[in-house]
Amino acid sequence: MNRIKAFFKDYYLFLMAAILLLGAWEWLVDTGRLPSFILPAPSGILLSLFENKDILLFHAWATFKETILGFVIAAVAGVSLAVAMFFFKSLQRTIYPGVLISQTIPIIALSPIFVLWFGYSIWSKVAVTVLIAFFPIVVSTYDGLNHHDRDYVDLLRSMGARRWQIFKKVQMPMALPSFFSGIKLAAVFSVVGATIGEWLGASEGLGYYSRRMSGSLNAEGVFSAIFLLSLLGMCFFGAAALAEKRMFRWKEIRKDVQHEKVDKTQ
Amino acid sequence: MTFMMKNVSYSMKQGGQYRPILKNINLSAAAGEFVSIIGKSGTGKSTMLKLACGLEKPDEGEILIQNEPSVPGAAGYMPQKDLLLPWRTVMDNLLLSPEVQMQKKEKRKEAEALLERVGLSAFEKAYPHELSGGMRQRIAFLRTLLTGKEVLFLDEPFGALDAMTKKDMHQWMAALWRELNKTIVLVTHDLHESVFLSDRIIVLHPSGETEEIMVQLQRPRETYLSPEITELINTLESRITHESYQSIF
Repeated sequence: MNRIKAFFKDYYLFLMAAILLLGAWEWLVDTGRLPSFILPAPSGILLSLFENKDILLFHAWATFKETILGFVIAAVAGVSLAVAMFFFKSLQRTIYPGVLISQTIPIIALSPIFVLWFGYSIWSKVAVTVLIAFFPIVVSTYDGLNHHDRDYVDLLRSMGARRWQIFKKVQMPMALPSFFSGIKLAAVFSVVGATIGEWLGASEGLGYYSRRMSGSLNAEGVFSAIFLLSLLGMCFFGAAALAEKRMFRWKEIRKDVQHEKVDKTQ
Repeated sequence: MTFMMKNVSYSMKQGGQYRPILKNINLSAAAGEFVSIIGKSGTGKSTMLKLACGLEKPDEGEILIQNEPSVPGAAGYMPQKDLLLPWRTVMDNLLLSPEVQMQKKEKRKEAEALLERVGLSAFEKAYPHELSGGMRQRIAFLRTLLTGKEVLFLDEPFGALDAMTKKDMHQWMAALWRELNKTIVLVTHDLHESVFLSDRIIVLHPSGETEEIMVQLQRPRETYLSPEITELINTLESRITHESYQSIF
């Protein structure tokens, strides 16, 4: 009950604004001030969602698969590269500028090549997703590893710890906050990546569906796909945020311990 | 001698130039002795401790701990900040050094016994942010003890505490040290702290020279400023200020 209360306390302004906006939107379309082929009414989008739920679910599943695959590959590769660069400075000097430069390439321009390489299979979409999600993960993990506190490293060294032990016990845990910022970004970007991939060549997925609907001037269809994509992005972000919260459970203040904080040891 | 520094010199690279920090330092501590090093800030006290526990290598000279050259892991080191790992419970923080030495299982009993002894057993599963400043320092000291080393180097461990807590910590530390029979080298700029705790005080002058003052007061010592303690503090103060006055000219 308290959590629901806290939720409303945090978000009531946003919820009110959203309801107001949706209401105004609905009113504008219903009263004919805005033609529905330009901007369909929220009710129309909902109706379209409901009517096409089976086909939408099929396409959403395809996008979900691409996103999750791309995200996992990007996370594994990104973290491995960041850790390797952290341990071997010459590797960092060799590769890091390249990683940065690669981000200046518009991925959308690169994607036709993926279609060329992987065809219309799921892998052309996964490749775009990986490319988009990889960068924030590498940068955030690498930065996080580098921003450890020198004093902690000295403490561990004074205990005779080896480099790997220092990494495991201090540097890695201290990189987690930064790592999770990257993961949350990547989680959202992954959905964008999969959608771009589908736009450029696919036979299934919400990106493909929205393109097909826009081809047949079905604005409701486009918007229902967009709605689902954004929902998917929110779910991925939520999952990443939840994982982060679980990891930082120790930060939560436990009331029972707080009471005893008064020092009774004298 | 359990701990010994012979003709140690050290310089630090700053802006492309080497700035000498320590010159020809000679120091020693006998087994079970409590030695304090005091001096103005910038005289290289902290650097000296880092050298002593092998975190930095001296340019010249020799540092021995139990007649072996000092390497990281040869002695216990307690830095200025408590540096408890915030994501570990009190117990897991205590077991950090045993973990590094692959003796976590064997040392758990010892850690529990130590917590019991200082009356902090109830906090075994608490996280550092749930503890008061004084408690955190106690845990940090226990963690240093659990390195199991003979010689412990403490770098201004009570510097960040308020005056009252500090006083409690001094008594606590004095009592614990008497039971434990460890060799402690403490760096501080708190004159009262050094007089209250030490057998011997070494004044480190900015010139790099050192001066020794024996503290022949009975233990356990008075916590208030008795005439003897006041006299010693005054002596120390005049030694420190006199030297820095000279060094200006």
